[in-house]
Amino acid sequence: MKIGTIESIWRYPVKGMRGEEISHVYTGFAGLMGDRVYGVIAADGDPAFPWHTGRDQEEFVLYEASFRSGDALLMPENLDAFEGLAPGIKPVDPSAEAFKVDVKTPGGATNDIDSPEFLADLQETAGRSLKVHMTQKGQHDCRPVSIFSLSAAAKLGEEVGMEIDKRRFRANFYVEWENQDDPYYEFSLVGKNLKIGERLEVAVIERDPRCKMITLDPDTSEESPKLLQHVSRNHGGDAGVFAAVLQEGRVKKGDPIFLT
Amino acid sequence: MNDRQEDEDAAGPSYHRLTVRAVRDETADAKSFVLIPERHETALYRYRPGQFLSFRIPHEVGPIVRSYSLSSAPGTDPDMTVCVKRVVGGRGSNWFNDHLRTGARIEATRPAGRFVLRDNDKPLLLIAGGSGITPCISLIKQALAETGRRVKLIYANQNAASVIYRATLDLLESRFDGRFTCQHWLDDDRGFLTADDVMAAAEGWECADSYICGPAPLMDMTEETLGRQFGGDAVILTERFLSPDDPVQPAVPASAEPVPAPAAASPFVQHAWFRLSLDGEDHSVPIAEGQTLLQAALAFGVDVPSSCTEGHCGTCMAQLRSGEVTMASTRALSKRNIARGYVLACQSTPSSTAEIWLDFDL
Repeated sequence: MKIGTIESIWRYPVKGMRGEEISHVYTGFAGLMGDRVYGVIAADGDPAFPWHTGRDQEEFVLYEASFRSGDALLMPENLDAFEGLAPGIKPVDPSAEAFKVDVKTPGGATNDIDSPEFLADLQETAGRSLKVHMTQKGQHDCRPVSIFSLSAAAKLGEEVGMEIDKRRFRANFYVEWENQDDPYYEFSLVGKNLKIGERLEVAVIERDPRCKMITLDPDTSEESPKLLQHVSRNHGGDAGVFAAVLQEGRVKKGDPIFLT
Repeated sequence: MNDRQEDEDAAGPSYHRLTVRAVRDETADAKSFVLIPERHETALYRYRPGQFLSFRIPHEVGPIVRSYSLSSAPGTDPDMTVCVKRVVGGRGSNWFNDHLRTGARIEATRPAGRFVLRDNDKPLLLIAGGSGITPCISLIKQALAETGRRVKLIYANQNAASVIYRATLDLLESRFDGRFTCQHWLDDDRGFLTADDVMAAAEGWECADSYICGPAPLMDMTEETLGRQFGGDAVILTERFLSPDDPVQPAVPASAEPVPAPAAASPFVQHAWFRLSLDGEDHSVPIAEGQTLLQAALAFGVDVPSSCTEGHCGTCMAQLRSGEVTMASTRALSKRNIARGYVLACQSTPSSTAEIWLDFDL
């Protein structure tokens, strides 16, 4: 049964920085290809959550990260050769070179994220000792795929009394549900499996517990604590859902979402 | 843990539904029960290590109330866990062991109790007997994970098969080598623990905060022995098992009465109340020693926003308009937040005599 449509696809090359909208992407067991492969670790960070993010430096959400290889990181090479095989056969990921990232700072400077110049500038701005950390498997807090509906964004805005930019929620898949009665329809999908597009299958594992990141305006980094307060007091602290990948596959904007 | 009667206030306790996520056999006659609150009531079940829950049990004789200590610790365990050991003829403990299964639901009050760590750097000496290990292991996990305090446990059981949490204790002893020692005492091998045994085991721990939980005879003996050995300044906290089936028990259970009462003259005592602004309304919130501003507000029934309670998420961020607090962690605060006078209520305890005013209307 079709229950929705992929409205847009987003990935975040650097954990905590601004995301980029992409037209299509391969989604593997570790999440969207290229999603959150970089992160910045603070020397004085909590060992359990050492990441330097907008939580620590609000302007961090204004940094724009992009892959130098462009579209090369959207799909594995020779994907067609793999898609006919059993679900357990994974395609070969792109080479390390494809994961090179450039970052444009709010001040307009663009640097290789691995360059000393980038790190020195960020450390000076943040006022703390930092290091760049990279792994091709993605560095998500909870689950590899996050889903958030436009109806939830609109309803939250109505409830809180402010305009809500969906990008505050930093989801991978923004969706439009067929169900017009429940703006938070995704909550009802926890425990269920979805097929997205022709091949990707995910299990909706849990609601997405939110933190201070959603209080930050993605264009100005100004903070609206009342949004997180409202989510905590009226929605159990949750907004959107997390999913785990059961079968890998490509996804493109406009793909249908089926309940399996 | 053994049965203990509900400590009800005049208005009567409020019960909430918990789901049993898992049941684990700990020994032949003791099980651990992992409990999950309703999603929207998670905040109600924030607890301090050493506290207990009171359960309303749908027993065939009619509803009965029993209290069992949490063996989990919020800083080290993802979910709440209680351990219940069968008591011969005990209605509550046997009902738990015989009837409560994974997926079942049961009603419980919010966590309560004062058998908790005091805010200091003193070493900890714990003496537990049988299922008295339940609150003690919660305290041990917190002390080892969140403080640098040395910890010694003297744990008495009838025999090796009746030792609860043996693997966990072994693991902690190995992982915290030098900070944690566990001295097992098996009655079948050495007879009952005596005052001389306690004195020998406690030698060198005179400056420790002591915690005792177990069968009444063991507790009476160790409490008296340590009081004599450590002198008048000793701080000894006890958690007594009081079963409603016991005709000599008092109507209200004793729970962690320090002997003698802590004498520390902290400026904190000036903060019997603090001002809290939320949704345009002002509240005067009572706060007890050791409570965070968030704990005090939730306990008082103010619906303040909060989520992780560990300083990570920033949900309980508020502006400190007056007064001073100490924050255990400022993880979720940026330099901008701190410059604006924002604090995390879940991490804040009063630290001066000035009136505290916490404003959530940011």
